Amino acid sequence: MSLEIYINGLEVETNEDTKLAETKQVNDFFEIKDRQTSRTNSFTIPPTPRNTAIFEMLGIVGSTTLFPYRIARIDVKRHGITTIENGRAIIKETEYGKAYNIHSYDGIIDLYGFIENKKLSELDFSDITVQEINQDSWLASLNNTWQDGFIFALADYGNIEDVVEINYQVPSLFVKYLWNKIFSEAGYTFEYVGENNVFESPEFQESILSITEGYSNETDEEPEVLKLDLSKSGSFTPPETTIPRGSGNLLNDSTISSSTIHYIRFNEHQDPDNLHITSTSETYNRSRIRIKESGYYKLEVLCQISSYNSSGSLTIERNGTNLFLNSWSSSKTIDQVKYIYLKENDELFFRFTANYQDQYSSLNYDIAFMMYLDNSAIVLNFNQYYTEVGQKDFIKDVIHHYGLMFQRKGKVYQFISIEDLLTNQGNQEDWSSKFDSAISEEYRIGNYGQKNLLKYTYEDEADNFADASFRIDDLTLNPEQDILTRAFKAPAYSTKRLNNRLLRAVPLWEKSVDDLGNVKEIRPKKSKPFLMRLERSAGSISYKFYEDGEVQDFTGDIPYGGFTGLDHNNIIANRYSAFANLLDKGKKIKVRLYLTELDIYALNFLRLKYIKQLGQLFYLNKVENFQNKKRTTCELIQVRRFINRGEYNGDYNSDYNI
Amino acid sequence: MAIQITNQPTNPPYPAYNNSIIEFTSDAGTPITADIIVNGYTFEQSADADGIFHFNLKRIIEVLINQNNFSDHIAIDNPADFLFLDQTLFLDVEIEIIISFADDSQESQTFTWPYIKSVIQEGEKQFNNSQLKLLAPYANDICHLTYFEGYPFDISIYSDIARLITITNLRTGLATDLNLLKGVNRLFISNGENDNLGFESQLPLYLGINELEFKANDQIYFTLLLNKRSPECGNLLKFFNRQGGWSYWNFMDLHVEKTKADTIDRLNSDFNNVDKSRGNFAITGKEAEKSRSLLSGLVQDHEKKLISQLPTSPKVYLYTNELASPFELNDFIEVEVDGGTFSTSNKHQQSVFNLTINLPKIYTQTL
Repeated sequence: MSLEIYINGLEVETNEDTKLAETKQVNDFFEIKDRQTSRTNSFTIPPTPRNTAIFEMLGIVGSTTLFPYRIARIDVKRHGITTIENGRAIIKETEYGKAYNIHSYDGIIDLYGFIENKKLSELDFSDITVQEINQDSWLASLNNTWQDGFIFALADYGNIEDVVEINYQVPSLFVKYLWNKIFSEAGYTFEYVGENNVFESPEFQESILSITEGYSNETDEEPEVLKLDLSKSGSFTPPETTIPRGSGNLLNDSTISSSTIHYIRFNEHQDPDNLHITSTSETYNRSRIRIKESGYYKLEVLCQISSYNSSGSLTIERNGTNLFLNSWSSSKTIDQVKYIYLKENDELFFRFTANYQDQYSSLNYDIAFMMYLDNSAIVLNFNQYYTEVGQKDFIKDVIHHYGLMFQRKGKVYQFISIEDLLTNQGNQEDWSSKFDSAISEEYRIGNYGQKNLLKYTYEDEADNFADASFRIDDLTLNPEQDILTRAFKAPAYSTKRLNNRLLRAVPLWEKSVDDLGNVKEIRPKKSKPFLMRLERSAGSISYKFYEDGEVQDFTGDIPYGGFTGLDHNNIIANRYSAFANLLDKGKKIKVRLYLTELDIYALNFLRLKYIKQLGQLFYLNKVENFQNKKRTTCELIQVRRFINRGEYNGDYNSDYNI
Repeated sequence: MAIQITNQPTNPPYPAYNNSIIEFTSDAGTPITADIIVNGYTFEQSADADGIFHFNLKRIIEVLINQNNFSDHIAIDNPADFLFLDQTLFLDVEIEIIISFADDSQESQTFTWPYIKSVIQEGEKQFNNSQLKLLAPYANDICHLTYFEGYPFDISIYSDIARLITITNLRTGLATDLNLLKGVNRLFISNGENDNLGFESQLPLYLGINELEFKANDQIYFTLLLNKRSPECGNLLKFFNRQGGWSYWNFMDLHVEKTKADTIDRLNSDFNNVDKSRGNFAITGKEAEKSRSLLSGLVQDHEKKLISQLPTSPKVYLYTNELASPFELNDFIEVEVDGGTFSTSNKHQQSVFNLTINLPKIYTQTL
C-alpha cells in the first residue's frame, strides 16, 4: 500500500482519486508576523462502508454525527514511512456517493490547535497560588527564580513612596515558567537544536510578566459569610465511541476525539442575596451566579463522578471565559477550594465536558458548591488575571522576540534562532543529488518596507522608546512598514527613585486626587501585562503592610523590575541581523527536486541545504505538493554568508541601521 | 396508541442494495420529529404535513453490512470441516424509532430486520421461500450449478433460524444431515483436493448432474442440480453474485495476456561536461499493468446466466493454485473484470463468453 491514511488512528480506505499532495512548510521565512504557518492539504476519500462507519454515518441524510464539527487526528504513511504524524483533519464536504473532502493541517499547528482560544488564565496555577498577600509572602518571594513561578519585582505600580507599601506591589509570572507550563499542559516538550540555547539564557530566565490588574485593598476583619449553598445530583449522556459491530464488521473499537458539554443547573439550599438565577425549566436551563458585591470570595467545590469510565473536566466559567479547569481521568472526585476576587455583575457558570468513552453509559454526578465572601485578606489567584492574553499569542510573542524558527518532531518541538541557523553554516545538508532543475527566482519577498518597524505597546501611546527598525536596500518598497508589535507593554521609567535607582512604571493602580492635591482614592486599574526583566541589586529598603502598618527594613538582594536588553534595538542587533541581511537583496528560488518518502520523513527545516549545481547554500522554505515518485517543487531562500555591516550604537532614539 | 408502520420492505431477508424505505406515524399526538437509531447511529427526521415520517435505510445498511468490502475470508483448514457460517453475508439490524410529539412527549418502538448482501432487479422474480434458500443466480425451487472437480467450490445457503437439514443425492439415494445456523452458511463441496475427505466423503457426487434435494422437517425447500465436471486446468474465477453468495466458473486455460508500461517521471541529469557525461536524463522507473483475456468454453443457457453476472460483480478473484490442491485464502487474488459491453444471445443453446480481467498492478523497481 503506497499511501495509508489514518483518521483518529483508524485506517481509511483510499481510491485512485485520493491524491494527498503534501506541502511542507513550518516557517514562512519572510513573514515575521505569521512565520509559524501550517499548510493545508486537501484530498478526497471514497465513502466506502468502512469510511462511512469511521465518520459515524456522515453523509447520510439525517445523520446526527458531530464528526464534521470536531477536529480529527490524521497520520499518513507512504510505503510504510510516516510523512504526516499527528496532524489535524477536518471534513469539509461530503459529495453524496462520491467522496469525503478533507483538509489536513500538518506541521506546527498541533500545539496551536491545542492551545487555540485558551488564555494564560486557563493554565493550572494551583502550585503557585498566593493564598494571602502580606509581609511573609512578599519577603518569601524575593529570592524566587523561574522555577517558583512568580516573584514580587519592585516597581512603581501606581502608589509607591520611600517606604514601600507592599499591598501596592504585585507578583509577576516568569516567562520561562509560563512557557514550560503551556508546553507541559499541552503534552509536548521542546528542545533547542542550535548552539546558543535561548531557553537557558539569563534573559529568558529573568523575563517576567506583570499581572494585569492591581487588587482591591479593601479588606476588613469580618469572618467569611456564606453567600451560596448549591448542589445537584444529575446525569447526562456523553457520546459513545464504539462503532457498532454488525456481522463482518472488521473495525476495532476506537476513541474518536469529541466530547459533550453539559452546563449544571443547581438546586438551591441557601441563597440569601438571590445570586442564583435560573428559569423555571429544569431541563433546558443552566445556573447563572451573578455577583452583587465586589470582594474576595472563597469557592468550595466537591464533586463526585460515577458510572463513567472516560476523562473529562469540570470548568467554572466567569463571564464566558474559563476560570478554573478541573480535569479528571482516573480519580473522579474533585474537592477544591479556590480564592478569587469577583466584581459586581460578574457571572459564574459550571460546565462539564465529557469525552467519548468506550463503554456507552451516562455520566452521573453529585456536586456541592458553597461560596463565601471573605474580605479578611488579600487573596491572589493568578487564574483571575491574564484572561485577555491568549496562550498562542504568548508563544508567538516569545518566538518573535527571540527570533526563533521551529518544527515539530512527534511530541517534541525543536527550536533554533535565526541567527544560529544562518550563521552556523556547518549545520547543513548536501542536497545536490536531489537536484533536478531550477524553475524561477523571485525578488519581492514578504510584506516589507524600506524601513521596517518592530514595536512595543506602551502605557502612554505616544511612547516609542523601545521600538526600532531595520532597513532594506530596495527602493521599490514602501518607505515604512510595521512588521511586528509585541503583545506586552514596555514599562517606561517612573519618576520614583529607590536606592538611587530609577524604578520602572507599571501602573496597575491609579490615584485620584482632590482639588488640594490630596489622594482621594487609589483604584485598581486593568492593563495588558508589562514585560520586565528581573534585575537584582544589593541594598536596603523600608516597607510596610498597609498605610498604618509597622515600618520594617529589608537588606539584601532586591529584585527590581527592569527592562535591560528587552528593547527592539537590542533585539535587532542580537537576533535579527542575519535575517535583515538576508532580506537585503534577497531571492526566493523555485527548484525541482527529486525527494523520496524518507526525505520527507527526515525533513529538517532547521538545517540549511547546499546544492552544488547552483553553487549556493539555501534555507528550505517550502516543499510543494510532494507525491511519491514525482519531482517536487521546492522553495529555497538563498543564504548569503553573514556579514555584520553595522554595529549597535546604544542610542535608543536612533534606528539600528545595517 | 402506538407507532404505526405504514410502509416497509417485504419478504425478508431484505436485499441490502435495494431501497429499504420505512414510513411510519403515530396516533398518540402530533408527530414533529423522529429519531431513528440504527445499530446505535442516530438519524433525525421531520414529519410531513400528515404526520408521516419517510426514511430510507439503504445507505446505512450498505455501510453496516459491508465493513469487509465484499472480501471473502473463509478458508478450510481441515477438509472435514466444510460448513461455515459466513458472518459477513448477513446482518440483523436493530432499529429503534422514537417519535417526539408537539406536547414534548415521546413514543418509541424497536424491531429487528434481517438483511443479506443481495440486490434485486426491476421485474425480477423473487424467491418465494424466505426460510431456507440458495444464494445463487436465478435460484428458485430448482437451481442449476456447475462444480469443477479439482477446484474449490462452495454454495451459500441462507437460513432464517438454526435448523437441521437433510441433503439427499437422488442420483445415488444417499443422504447426509447438516446443522445450519441462522444467517448465511457456506457449504464447501470441495476445497480443491480430490481425496474425498470433505463433503463428498459424506455425500458422494458423480460426474455429470447430481440432483440434490434440500429438506428440513420433511419439507423440500429446493433442489440443486449440480453438474460435476471432470478435472481440467483453467482459469477459475470466484465472484460475488447478486443473490449475496459466491459463485465459480472455470474459464479455459487458453488465454492472452497484455502488459502496459509507462514511465513514471524523467529526471534531468545534464550536470556534466559532455566528455564526462553518460547521458542527460534518467527515469524514475516504470509503472505497469497486466490484463488477461479469457474464454468460457461452450456454456449452457443457465451457465450463461451465471457468467453474465461476472461483469457487474463487486468482487472477483482469480484462483492461482494448482489443480487438485487444497486452497488457502491467498490463492485467490483480486482481479477486475474489464469494463465495456457484454453481449449474450439466446439464439443458440450453447455459446462462448469472452472476458478480459485486469490483474493486480505489477510491482516494478523505482527510485
